[in-house]
Amino acid sequence: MNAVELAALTVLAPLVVAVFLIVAAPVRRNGVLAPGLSVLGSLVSLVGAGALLLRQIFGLDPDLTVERQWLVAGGETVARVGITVDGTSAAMLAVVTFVAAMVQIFSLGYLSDEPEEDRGRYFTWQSLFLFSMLGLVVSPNLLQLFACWELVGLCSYLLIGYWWRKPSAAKAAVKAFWVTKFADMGLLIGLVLLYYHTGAFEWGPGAVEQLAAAGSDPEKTPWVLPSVAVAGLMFFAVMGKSAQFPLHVWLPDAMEGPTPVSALLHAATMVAAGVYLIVRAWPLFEAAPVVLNTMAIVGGLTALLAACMAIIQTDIKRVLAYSTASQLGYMIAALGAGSVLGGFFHLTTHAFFKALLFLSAGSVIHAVHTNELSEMGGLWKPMKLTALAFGVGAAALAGLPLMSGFTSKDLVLEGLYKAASAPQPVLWFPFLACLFTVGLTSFYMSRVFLRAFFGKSSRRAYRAHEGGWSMRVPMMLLAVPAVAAGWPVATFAQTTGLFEPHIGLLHFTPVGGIALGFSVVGFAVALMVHASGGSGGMVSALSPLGDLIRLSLVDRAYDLAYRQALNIAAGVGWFDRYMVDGVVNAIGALTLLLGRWSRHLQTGRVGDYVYAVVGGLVLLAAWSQMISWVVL
Amino acid sequence: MLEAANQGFPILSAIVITPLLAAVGLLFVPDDQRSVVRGVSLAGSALSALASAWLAWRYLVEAPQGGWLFVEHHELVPALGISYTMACDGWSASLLLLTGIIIFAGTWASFSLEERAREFFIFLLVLVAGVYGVFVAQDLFVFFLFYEIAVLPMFLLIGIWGSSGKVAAAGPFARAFRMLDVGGREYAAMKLTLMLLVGSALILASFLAMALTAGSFLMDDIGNAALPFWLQWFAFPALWVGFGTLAGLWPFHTWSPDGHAAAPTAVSMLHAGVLMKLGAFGVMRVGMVLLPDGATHWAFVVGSVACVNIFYGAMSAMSQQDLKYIVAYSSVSHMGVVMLGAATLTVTGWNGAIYQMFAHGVMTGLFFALVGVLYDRTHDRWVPRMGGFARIMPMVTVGFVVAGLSSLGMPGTAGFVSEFLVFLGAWEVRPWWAVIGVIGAFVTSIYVMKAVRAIFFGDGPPERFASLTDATGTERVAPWVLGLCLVVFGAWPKFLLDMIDATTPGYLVPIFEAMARGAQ
Repeated sequence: MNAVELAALTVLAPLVVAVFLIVAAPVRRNGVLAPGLSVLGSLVSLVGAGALLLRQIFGLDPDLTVERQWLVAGGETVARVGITVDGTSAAMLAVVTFVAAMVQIFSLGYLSDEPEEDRGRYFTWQSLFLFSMLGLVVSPNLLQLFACWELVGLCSYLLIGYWWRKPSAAKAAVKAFWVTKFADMGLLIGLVLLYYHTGAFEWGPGAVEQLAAAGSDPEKTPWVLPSVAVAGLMFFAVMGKSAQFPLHVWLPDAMEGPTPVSALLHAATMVAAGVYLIVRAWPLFEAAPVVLNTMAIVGGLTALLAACMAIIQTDIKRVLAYSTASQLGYMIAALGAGSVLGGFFHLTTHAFFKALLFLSAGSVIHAVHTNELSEMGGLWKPMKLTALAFGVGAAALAGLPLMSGFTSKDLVLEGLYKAASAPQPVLWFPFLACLFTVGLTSFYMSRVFLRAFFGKSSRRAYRAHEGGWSMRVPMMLLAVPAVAAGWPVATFAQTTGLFEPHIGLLHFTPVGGIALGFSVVGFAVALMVHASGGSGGMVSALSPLGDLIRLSLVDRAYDLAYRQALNIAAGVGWFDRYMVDGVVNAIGALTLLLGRWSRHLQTGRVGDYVYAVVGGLVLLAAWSQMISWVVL
Repeated sequence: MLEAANQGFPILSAIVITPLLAAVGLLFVPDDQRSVVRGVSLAGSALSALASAWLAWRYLVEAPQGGWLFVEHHELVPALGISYTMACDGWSASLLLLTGIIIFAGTWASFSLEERAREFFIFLLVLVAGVYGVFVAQDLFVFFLFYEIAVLPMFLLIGIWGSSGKVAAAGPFARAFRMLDVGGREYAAMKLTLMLLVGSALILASFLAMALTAGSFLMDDIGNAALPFWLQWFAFPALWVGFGTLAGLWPFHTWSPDGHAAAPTAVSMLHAGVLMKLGAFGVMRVGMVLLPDGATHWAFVVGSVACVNIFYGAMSAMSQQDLKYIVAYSSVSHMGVVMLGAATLTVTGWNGAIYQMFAHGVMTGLFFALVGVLYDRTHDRWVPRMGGFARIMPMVTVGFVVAGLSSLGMPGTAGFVSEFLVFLGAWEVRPWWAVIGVIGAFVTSIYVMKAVRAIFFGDGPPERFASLTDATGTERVAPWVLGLCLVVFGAWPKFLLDMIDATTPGYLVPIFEAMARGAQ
């Protein structure tokens, strides 16, 4: 098998499973077959992706792209679909398939109490979700990437709304769909613009040159440079997908879905798509420094604000949700500072430890049947494995040394620091924000960890116990890369073509040292708060800040906009029924009324007609007389 | 085109005649033998659908570079240049395929009809014969004949088999209708027919002007005759408004919501699915191709009004609570995309416009089929009274979501292909057209998902709907066929798009020439 065939197998295996499950309803309703097939599909993908990655690492495959014509106009190709295999896509494929396979195996246990039919639906969407993301990863051009991008959004909608009977879940699903769809308008227009200037949907240097040429054309002076417009519009879509402020609002609500869905959504698929788009189409972004600076600032802001939000949450999943937004802010900021390696590497390590965190949170929720931190506590005793897994994930997230998160966060901060001291003074803000956020991250993760697993045992903790093997094994397997994914950073950089000479086996810089300091302080504060009897005071002290951020600024603005849109629509609807249609009705009604009036002319009485004939004759005579006068 | 006339089997005439034969056959079937009635109607629609699918396949095989196939030519009135000329190109082939799919699905969807089923199917089949005829007629006289055959049965179909509930005139003149005892469906049927007939009058006048100036009714001859600019200046807007009325052109679209709301399921499917396309097809095939100077002169107006259609239709759909009105207004919005593509006068835009005719036809057919299933059970179309229907009607839910996704342009469904091509074409001409199109697609996602959530998700279903069942038996055919078409033609558009694209550049040649003339 050559690389492209292998990649095709990797991508198409989940699609085949999904289509089969959609068409074959009896199989889908079977509680064993449907999940089994789905897991099998993702394992096939995992093996394929693993083989691809190994071959890329050892340089056995050249970079390959195979494409087929998809859209035509005038006999010329407008768009293609295909598969591209290189270090970037191979690395991402491996991450996505690994996390997805773990999540699906975990789901076997997590959803074992659900009705069989619902479970079939769940695994069908999971397979479709995986296919969409893999299709996105191997896209050779931006149009296919956009198509898969939308499908990823659709599958998120379907999975967040898995418990559609709950009005809140239905609402959260549609909110995620609308917010991301709103942002996707940017990508769609950006693509149209890109096609207009370059005649293709490529992201390579050729496209960049054509965009630059279009911008310097003296004949047409656009009010914004095409390169900036394309990159800016695409970044708008990334903000929606990767939950950047102020388009992050859908992400916390997306917790309405089952916890494994959150794991997939937050780690390897939905939110990862945005960052991956920037990594993939990097030449287009690189050509627009204004957009890069905006990215860095938006990323830094998101990292800081989302971390503040995470501190005041009392729901374990919402803490993790905001931490995802915060970590995505790191990635976006790194990319904005020009550190592709930092952004991409943090994306991969984050995928592992965030999936681990969500799965262990899922394990906790499965055991205690609540999301509320206040109802947990003392879970260390009954659930040691879960506690360990969560601890590993939290340590990686907080960036403790030797953990995967440490290396990648170090790369991010280093990239930001270098760019800021390049000098690009505007980048000091994202750097400082990200640096400070390290402390906040360490604080809120320690708080959750201590709160859930230590302290006074809650009533629910006595009945808690670990889940079955299908829930324990994925956590153990995910813990390995959550710790170790940071070690082979040099190999990663070489495979993805992002190698920088100063990267050694274990990456460590002075900036990382300062960050470690913040991290330790955050942990110490959390420990102190915990020792002093819980973090209630802290939360209430900070909650006005959170309310300010969450309610008054963002969510309310969206609600208002939605209601205003409905009002305008109502106005348009009224105008149509009463004004536009009113004219039609007026014509119709007047015609009818005229007919009703004029039918009195035809009375059927002979006398009336005789009068009319005589009268007509008189008029005719008078008229002819008049004519003769005038003519003569 | 005429060189190769009358060789081989007259497949095009056969496609047109098949439903007519079935209609005639139905005349001899006793009304109470319902299964025979259904069998004959299904045979007529299925045969014509199969033939049109075969035709599309032959076209791809035999004419990958475009051109005319299956030409038939018989003189009717040589003195006036009137002839019976039929021929098929890529556009015709794809729209015939659409008609075949919709009538096949529509026949299945009408099997639950009890009242005067025989007469219903007779009118339905006659109507479809007219539609088939319009897409392949190459002579304006015959074209108009078929056009009227397609439009007029609608009056009876809505007037007799329609539903009156919730359809009434609004506004200050509504009292006049009540005073004169005009019922809901009579109102809708009359409004639809009269508005379309006013359009027909404009069409007829322009046809006569064009044909008499050119000395022939044959479209090719008229195209080659290079009609004077003043004539084109008048005739193009007349055709645009005349055909446009049928295509839901703003502000002559108001027959559509009332008409579709009152019409029985299959009639809505055919009307929104195929008949509205006759209008857009007429604007493009007759208006733009035969009157290129007029088209280039008026293109800006056409495109701008199309933008109004897209946005205004979408906003109106968002404001509605009646399910059929939502779908009807979404048709108004989506036909705007067709007209926008047409107004771009580019290959991409025109490919997109024809593809959108197909995509929207299938999509709205699916919508109306499902709304029919829902309405048969609930006897209610008021969205706020529904909820949680996914529990009792999973199949309807899935179908509705698929149709909705195609309508909001989700990649993987046919709607994405067409809308994207139209946007690409529109940006070349006027970027703000494309921007409005994109915004329209976003508004579509709001009202579609809002309706899906309100009808199918959440608590419920309400008690009085709790015992309802999912689509059963024959009702499942239409959703399956149409839903599959949406996904197949969305994931692999090459089959259809190659066919359309083989024809489009040839039609644009006179337009480009006219543009060059206009630029001088």
